[in-house]
Amino acid sequence: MLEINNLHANIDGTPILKGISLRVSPGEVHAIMGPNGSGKSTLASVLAGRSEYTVTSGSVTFMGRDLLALPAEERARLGIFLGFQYPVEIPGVSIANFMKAAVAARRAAMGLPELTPAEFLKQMRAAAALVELDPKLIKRAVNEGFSGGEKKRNEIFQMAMLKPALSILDETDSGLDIDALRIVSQGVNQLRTPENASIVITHYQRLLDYIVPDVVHVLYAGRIVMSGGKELAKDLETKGYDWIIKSLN
Amino acid sequence: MTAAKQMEIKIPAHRTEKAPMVLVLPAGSTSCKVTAGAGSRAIVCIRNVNRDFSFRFDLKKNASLTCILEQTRPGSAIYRHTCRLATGSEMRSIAIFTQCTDIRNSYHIDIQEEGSSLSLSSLAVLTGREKLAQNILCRHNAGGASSMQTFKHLLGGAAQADMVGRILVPAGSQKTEAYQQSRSILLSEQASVHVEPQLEIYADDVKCSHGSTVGQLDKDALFYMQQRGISPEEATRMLLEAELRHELDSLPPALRRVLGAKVSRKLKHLV
Ligand SMILES: Nc1ncnc2c1ncn2[C@@H]1O[C@H](COP(=O)(O)OP(=O)(O)OP(=O)(O)O)[C@@H](O)[C@H]1O
Ligand SMILES: [Mg+2]
Repeated sequence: MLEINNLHANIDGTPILKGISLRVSPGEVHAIMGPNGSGKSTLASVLAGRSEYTVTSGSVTFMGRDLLALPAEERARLGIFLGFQYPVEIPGVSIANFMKAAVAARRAAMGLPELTPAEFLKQMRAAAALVELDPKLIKRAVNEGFSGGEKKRNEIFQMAMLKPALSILDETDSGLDIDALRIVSQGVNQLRTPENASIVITHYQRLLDYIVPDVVHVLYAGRIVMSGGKELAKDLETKGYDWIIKSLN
Repeated sequence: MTAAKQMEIKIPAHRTEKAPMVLVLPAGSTSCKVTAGAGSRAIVCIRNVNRDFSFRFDLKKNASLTCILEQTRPGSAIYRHTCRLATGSEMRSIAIFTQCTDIRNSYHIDIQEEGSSLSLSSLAVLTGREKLAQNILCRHNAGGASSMQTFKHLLGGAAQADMVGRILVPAGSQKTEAYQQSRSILLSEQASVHVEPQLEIYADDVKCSHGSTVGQLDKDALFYMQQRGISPEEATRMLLEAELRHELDSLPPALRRVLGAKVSRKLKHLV
């Protein structure tokens, strides 16, 4: 589904990604862990198509397409969803209008007919219920004045609406209280199918108790320096990153 | 033949006009005086006058008057507004500009007595070579009154918007609240805006402020929307509409939809 080959990317002339290779198949969950500043969000942004980053070499194929050749909105319509580490507040744009535009674009790209207003509303309610997002919040402007945890729930709510092929969840767990973590994780699990896949970026093994990964990668200084099974996350939790970094030198 | 050059409209004291009144300005007239009687309430609409014209609004005690000026067809003209506010009166003035070949629009507001309030807002959505110049003088001749001015400019093409806004609070006009906000968004390199706030405050017990921002749309918000599959053009339009949301929502319900639609239509020419 996703194949990243020796990806290098810069921002403002500074190299951040220094040769990333990663293969994600349908049905899989990959976790990416790594110290602050190692390039996790950068990788997510480059995959999503943020124009501030320049890809200097390497390739990314997504469902048979050259992903890097596509603008961000077309990547999204193909089924790439980024759960933002810092979801953006958009005053004056209601969640309903925002989702209407987003869902219409995605459905059109999939060759599906437009949803009727009643069907759309039904899906909104179901998606909100999935992550126990207060229905009152849906009536508000996108993320405006939302608490940190509400913003993260709102990301998964949107994921439920858009049914992406590949979701990249960037620290969706940070800012969630213990109950919310369980609820949101269960939501993500319910959205799993044999056809879709997820890349879960996190600092905490705790999340991976709920969303159990097939592979755990360690990103360090712009490279994947180690990959392993879900036990690797447990090792990191107790031992930190030092032992890996030392073994590199 | 002495065609009345000045029109006059009187809203009787304590009358509440539920429906908006559209001012029909006879050919040849060059000015119009609207007197809002004590305790009256009314909404007045002025549409596409397209010739030089003076308006005078006289608000008696506790009168409430909403005036909606619409420039939604191409035109070149000079509009002058003078307003006088008596005790407890409330003037809301909303101006919407979506077609300005070359429009100059001025307000001279005299807040004469305490307890009155003025809210003046102006929305301009311009492109091509459109030009709008506005000049405002708001004089707080009495204390204990408030004024709030809001200007929004969304400019594409080589459109040009100027605004000089002067607030004058003489010594003795204590407990005045006077605010002025302007926000301009430039969607092209050739579009230009010039905003000049002038605060002259001689009283010491007042709350006054002005702020103006000129900028582009929030890049993070645009990317967030694109990441959800929304095209940059549609995202831009949604963000521009959002900029105007507050003002459009504050329009009388009877006018909100039709004016909102005119603004939306114009936005399509900007993006
Ligand atoms: N404009 C820029 N110029 C130079 N360096 C930048 C710029 N923007 C980001 N960086 C750097 O890129 C590196 C990677 O940042 P990134 O956000 O991808 O890290 P991360 O792994 O997601 O970290 P965290 O765990 O804290 O979220 C950081 O060192 C950051 O300072
Ligand atoms: Mg990050």
